Amino acid sequence: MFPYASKRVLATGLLALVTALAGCATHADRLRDIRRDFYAGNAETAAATIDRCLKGNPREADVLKLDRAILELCSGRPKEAERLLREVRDRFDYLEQKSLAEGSLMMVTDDTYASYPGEDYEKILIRAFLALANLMGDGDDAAAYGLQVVDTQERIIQAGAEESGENPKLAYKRVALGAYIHAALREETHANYDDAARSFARVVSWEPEFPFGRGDVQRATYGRHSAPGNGVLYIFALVGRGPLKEEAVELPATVTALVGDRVLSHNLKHTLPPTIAPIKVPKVVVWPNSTRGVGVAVDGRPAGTTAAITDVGRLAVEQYQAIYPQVLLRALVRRAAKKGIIYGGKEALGVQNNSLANVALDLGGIVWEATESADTRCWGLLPDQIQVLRLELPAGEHRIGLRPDDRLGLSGADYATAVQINDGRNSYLLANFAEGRLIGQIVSSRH
Amino acid sequence: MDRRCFLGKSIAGLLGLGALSQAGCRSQQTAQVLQPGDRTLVGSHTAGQETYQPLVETAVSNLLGRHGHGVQPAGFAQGAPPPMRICFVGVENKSIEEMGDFKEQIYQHIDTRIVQSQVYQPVSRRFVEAGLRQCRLRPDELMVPQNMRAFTQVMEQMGQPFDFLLYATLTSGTTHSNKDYQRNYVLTLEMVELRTGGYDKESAELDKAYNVSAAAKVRQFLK
Repeated sequence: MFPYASKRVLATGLLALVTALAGCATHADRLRDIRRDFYAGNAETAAATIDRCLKGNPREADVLKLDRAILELCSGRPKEAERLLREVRDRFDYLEQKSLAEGSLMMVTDDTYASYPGEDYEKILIRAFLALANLMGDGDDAAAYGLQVVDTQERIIQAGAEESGENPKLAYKRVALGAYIHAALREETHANYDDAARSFARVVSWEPEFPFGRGDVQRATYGRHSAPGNGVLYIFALVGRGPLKEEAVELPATVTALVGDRVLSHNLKHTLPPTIAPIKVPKVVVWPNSTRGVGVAVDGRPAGTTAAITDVGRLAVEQYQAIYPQVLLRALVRRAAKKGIIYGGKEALGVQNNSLANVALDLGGIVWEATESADTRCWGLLPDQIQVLRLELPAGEHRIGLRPDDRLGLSGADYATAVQINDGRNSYLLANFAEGRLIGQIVSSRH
Repeated sequence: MDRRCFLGKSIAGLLGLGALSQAGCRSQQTAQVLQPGDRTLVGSHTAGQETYQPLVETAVSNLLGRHGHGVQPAGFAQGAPPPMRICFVGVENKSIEEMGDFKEQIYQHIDTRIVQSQVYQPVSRRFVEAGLRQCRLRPDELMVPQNMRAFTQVMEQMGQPFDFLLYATLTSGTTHSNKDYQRNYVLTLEMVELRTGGYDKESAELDKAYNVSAAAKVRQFLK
């Protein structure tokens, strides 16, 4: 086989290779700074941090663009937000296809080295935010985006069917916001109440806790958009801090892998690197949301409080739980692959079990496994909930006051803006509140 | 095969399986313009273009064929009948399926065919929607005399009087046979005369079989 010197060189080379492939700071670390600035109300600082991260981390570009889109939307630039969201939507659609090259790279490194195709809830919410951004712009494509939300989630669920006939994605909670926006737009035509009623009925079935849902169905089925001389104002509130991914240690899987490799090492010709480095996986974490709703006042008089139509945090957790076994399986297969490569190296080099090279390779394997990072890339500036309130108001200009209410009944500061209501038409407002504070500005529709 | 050899090969197999699970190549999505006569897609779970297009074509052609020589509104005395002024209110979906983006397309197809036929003199949809909005009327409320008077008055004020209301309604009926099912789609065009309340109808229907079981798929393949 190889002379002793060559074996040493090869062993050292392999060690250097695995060290070179080591992971470093994760997306979660970078996201922490962005979220801190954003939720403190420093949108410009958060934007600067995102731009800086975009330059140095191309593999995180898509999720950073999503964060940037939220910033643009809350800063009153819905067109720019829509452009970024469309860009990432198309890219995620492209990345749904598997790549052998990236798949192989992922096996010898970790998931962070591959392109991020987006979680299912992110793909659906991109369409929902496209609808919202478009409503705040010209509104021409909002109904189409609303339909895309419905269509995309159905497509994702259908694609989740396994060979065994089981489909873990059937447990997915549906996003009702797309159907709600579609219904609102169809109702505004005054000629398509049947469409509106169907979409509102979907909202009720997908989000039964939404308190206004049944009234909406009733109105679309038997009533009318608004009384003569009145128009309708929809207030969308993005409330609370949204979900994010953090690195977690999967201890039971680590112990099982360790026992397994010890048993195999005893029975095989060569030893396998012991599973000392813990198996790391991303976990979706939800932050407690202290904001219950946003109180709305019209011309100084209280008019109602927004209610959740999409619980983003719950959606993310439930969807991630459904696919978590696949995430864990991928991490275990990667470990097996790395051990297999080390084993193959020993076989090729003819390394003896009690030699220094064997120890070096096992140590290299341990280091290699220890360099793995969990893929914590995610859309980090999502709200915890998307809430909405529909108000029928007389045509003309009104002063709309918004005040976040926390779960203890304490009110935050008042924020106000002027809105023009048109006879028989819809108008829209969007505001982002986290922990009693308005982030960016109150954005109103321009059509 | 000894135990070590077996275990070694098992590990190699596991690695191969891991690589295979990631097999595939990414490529950009492509598209092509379909020429007349090219094979089009058939909706596997719900109706699609293959269903709606023939329904619209048949129903509209039947209606136009029937009225090609003109319809005399009540009270009309003599001479060549003028083109009927019709107000196409919209497409009602009473089928079991969501029409999604097809609903607007069906409206536009029917409207375009009617305009091009010159059998009728239709009212633009923009006026219809403006009239409904101004009166705050739902399309299904127009048959109430008071509502009808208000609507016609508003339309006349906009310079768009009409003699007939036209409704398009899509319905469906489903027959199940174990896992497989067959759906009958009917598109009905209903014209209601304003003054007398008399109505005329034309419809087109199409049956579509949805093959869920393996046996149904095989039968379809062998046809």
